[in-house]
Amino acid sequence: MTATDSRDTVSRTTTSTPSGVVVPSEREDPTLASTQEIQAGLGEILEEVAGVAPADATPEKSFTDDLDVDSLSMVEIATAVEDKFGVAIPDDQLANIKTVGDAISFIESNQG
Amino acid sequence: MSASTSDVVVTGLGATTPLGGDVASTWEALLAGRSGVSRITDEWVKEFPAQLVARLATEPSEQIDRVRARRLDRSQQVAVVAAEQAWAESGAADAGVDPERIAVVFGTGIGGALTLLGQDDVLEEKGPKRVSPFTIPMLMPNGPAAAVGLAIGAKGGVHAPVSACASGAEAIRWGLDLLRLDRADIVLVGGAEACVHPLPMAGFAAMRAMSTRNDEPERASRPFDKGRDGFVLGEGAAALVLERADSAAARGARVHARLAGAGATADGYDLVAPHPEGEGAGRAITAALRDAGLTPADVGHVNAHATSTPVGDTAEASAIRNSLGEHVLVSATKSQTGHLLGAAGALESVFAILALREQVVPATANLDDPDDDAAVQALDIVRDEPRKAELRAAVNDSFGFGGHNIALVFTTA
Repeated sequence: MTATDSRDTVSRTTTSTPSGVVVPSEREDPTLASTQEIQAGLGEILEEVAGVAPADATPEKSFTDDLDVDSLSMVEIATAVEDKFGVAIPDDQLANIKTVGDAISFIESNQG
Repeated sequence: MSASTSDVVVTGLGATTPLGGDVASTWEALLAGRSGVSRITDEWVKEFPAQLVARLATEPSEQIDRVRARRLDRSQQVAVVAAEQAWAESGAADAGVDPERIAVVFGTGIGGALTLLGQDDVLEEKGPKRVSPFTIPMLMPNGPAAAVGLAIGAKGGVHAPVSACASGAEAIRWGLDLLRLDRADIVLVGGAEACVHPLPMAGFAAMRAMSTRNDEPERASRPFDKGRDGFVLGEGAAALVLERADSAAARGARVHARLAGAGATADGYDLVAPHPEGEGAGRAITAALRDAGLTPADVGHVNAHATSTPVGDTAEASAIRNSLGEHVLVSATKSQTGHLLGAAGALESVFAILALREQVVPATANLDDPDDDAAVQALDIVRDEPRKAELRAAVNDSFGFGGHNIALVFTTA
């Protein structure tokens, strides 16, 4: 399943999804999150940090052009991603993350 | 007091204070004699000698949305709340003013103390990587001015006077100058403060500047009273929209009052102690009157700085008596609002303007037994209940640690 395919199925399941969605950074052996879990978790972060409605946090959206997320908010998002998924995003990588899909891919390929 | 094209008028007012979330509710509570002071119940306050505070009547979170609020320090939040009220009331947004001719002057005494101290906790507990990327824009003392400038789209300059408890009044003076110098066509001015936190409380307490009348919160702030023992820290913001009289008239704006003149002096005496006879304060009032082209006889009311400290109030009483005489009706509204530091001069200017507009002078609460000081005894300090009066001009004076003195003269519209 691609990230795009998953968007409608996860948009309203964030609160009821079992504990696997939220992986605390201090956890020794984090369970790998699925693409849809990552998208849901990222959606929660975007809503908290930037007020983006969960339904709007779809993979093709540009953080700056579509979601009005500025560079300082991107730093906050990166910190929150590290807390939630245990994935640190180095500054040089953060600059390359333009869309929600970019972020999902980065988390997916760097977790664990 | 003839009108000229360089006259400056007040066309919008806004405030969020310990008495109310807007100007109307604040003014109503003031005239009703209500107090905004309460005792802190948090665990940290137990060892503090002074445990009183005048908290906002309405939390900013009820007035601005969560996502916007989370990147603004509380001092910026209250600034934006007050400024947007004033801006909306003035109707300036619909007046087609060129954004490059809109300026902001917004002062604060302390700045983003809650952010500074809160993020220091984060640094100590979690390390530098966890410090918020918004730390600097939230703690900088020009933060409230910048947030207000962004909120109303001001591109004609955004300025932030910092002169402790005179900051709010100083902002109004700068606004007057900008309009007189034709640097802008409309200026939103004001002051903001929100620093209720253990460190500022401990610092002021260490100066023995705060009231320790912990068991009687509503009676603790008692300017000019024999039993006064210090100020009560308050939080909030107030804002005014200023513009030249001719352009305000041309767009049919409602005029609350005229800002007729301003005076600024420095004590050159001590970093924090006022000159015993209020020499610099009196000079500021005299300078403001001269600037306004008025004489002491024209002034019917003074909203005094009067913070309820033993030395400050008597020095100010001397300054008022020496510069204006004994006929003026004096109000010390900090008796109900507490001391809003960098917002005080803006809020008390709003009160002076409303006194002129409504022709009523607010009472000074808790003035049960006026100080034996000769000047305090000589002045007509309104107490018990508000007093109706025929007022043509009113003065607000504000003083700040550092020896800053600002006096503003308002006249009826």
